[in-house]
Amino acid sequence: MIRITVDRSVCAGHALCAARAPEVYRLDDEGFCNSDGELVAPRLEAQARLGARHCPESAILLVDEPSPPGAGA
Amino acid sequence: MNTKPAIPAHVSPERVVDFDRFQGPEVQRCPHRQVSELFARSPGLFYTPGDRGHWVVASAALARDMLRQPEKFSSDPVHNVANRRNPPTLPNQCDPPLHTELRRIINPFFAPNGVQRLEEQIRAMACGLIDGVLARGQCEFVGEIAQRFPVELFLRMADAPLDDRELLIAKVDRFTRASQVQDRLAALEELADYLKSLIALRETSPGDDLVSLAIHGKVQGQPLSSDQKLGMVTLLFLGGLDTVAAMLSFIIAYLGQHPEHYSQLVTEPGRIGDALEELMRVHGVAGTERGVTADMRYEGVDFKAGDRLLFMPHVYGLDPDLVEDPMRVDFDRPLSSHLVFGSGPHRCVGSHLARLEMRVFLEEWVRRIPSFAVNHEGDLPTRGGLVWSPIQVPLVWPSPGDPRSAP
Repeated sequence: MIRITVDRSVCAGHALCAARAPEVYRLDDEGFCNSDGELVAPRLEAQARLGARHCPESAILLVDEPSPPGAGA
Repeated sequence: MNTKPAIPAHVSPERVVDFDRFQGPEVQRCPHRQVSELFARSPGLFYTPGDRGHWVVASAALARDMLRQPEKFSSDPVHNVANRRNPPTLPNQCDPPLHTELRRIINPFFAPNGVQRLEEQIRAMACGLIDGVLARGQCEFVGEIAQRFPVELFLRMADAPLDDRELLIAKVDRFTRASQVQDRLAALEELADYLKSLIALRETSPGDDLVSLAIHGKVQGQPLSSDQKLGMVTLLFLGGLDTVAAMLSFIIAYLGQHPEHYSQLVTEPGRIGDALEELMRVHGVAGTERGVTADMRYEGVDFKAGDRLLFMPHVYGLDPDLVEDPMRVDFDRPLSSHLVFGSGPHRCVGSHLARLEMRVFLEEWVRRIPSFAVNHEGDLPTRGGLVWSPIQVPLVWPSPGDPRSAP
């Protein structure tokens, strides 16, 4: 599994993450990325990486996490 | 004639490059190609004696780094007296934390979800403008369409009379065109008179329009001062009026001159969103300034407090260190990196609205005009200044019912 980390002090509200990967990234009412700390479903990993790559501020870091217990191999 | 200021003593001679963003030969034709070529053979940070003397940030990577450090490179005119306006425009001419609070007032209006509700209005305006010239088989795009489109939208967002359109276009054009600081300030003064009366109207009878929203915001729980209100509303007008018009004009001119690119959009209108990002990358229009807050050494350059810095997002998308083979326009690029809307806390608040306006406009343009051409031999003349723009973009297309008029 991967987890989204967003440096909110760097996010400037370009919102390209949500434009490229709307199923993964959500915006708050002011247009800033609101998905910090969320786990990404395996089927959306490619989208998550696409959205992160498009962040002009490099505010999004995707962190690999060991699968939770009982989640299967 | 202006006499050029002497090069300050702390500027080393190998960092001096002559570049006048208002009148230099680079901005008169093909400014994106010419200025990116100038930047490619210049130091990443150079000093020009042009326009009263200032630094130019010629590297996208340095620009991105510097724009994120408002404590060193400030937007407050206190550190950049050459850019002082009275009152300052806001929130662009201030730093965090005040900037953060002022942005919060308008962020929701301009967030992607916020601007979405304007799509149908924007589409109706685009259709009206294109239909107005369609049967003629020709138009001068800058004056007849591009300048009208965002101005009309802005007047609607501000709930101001649409009859004010011509008057406002003239005022904004005077401001962005002016190469002398006194002309620029005089133009701003005239614009301020118009905006002050609009503000006064909304103070007594507020509505759900953008001006009412901006002037009824609060900072640290306190209402905005009258200067702050004027500063906010001035920027909302200036930011939206000329920039979209200029970029849309560059983009339409490009598509008219590159039928192989245009036909891709006609065949697959669903690709317009991605293609637009690539077209914006190579057609940036607006710059921004900062002032150095203290004597410091940065990336091997000695700065003095009060040094003026010009950033050129116009061409950062053409920096070969940011984008491979940057002059090649390719709608299939996996990533069209650019800093057209700036970077850091001052990222253009209108970026999502600008994208929406241009996407919707292009969707309606391709629907009605399957092929068109620029009716001009050679490179189109452009103007430099605060906002780059083609001066005129004469277009021709086969008008419905008249096969002889094919371009």
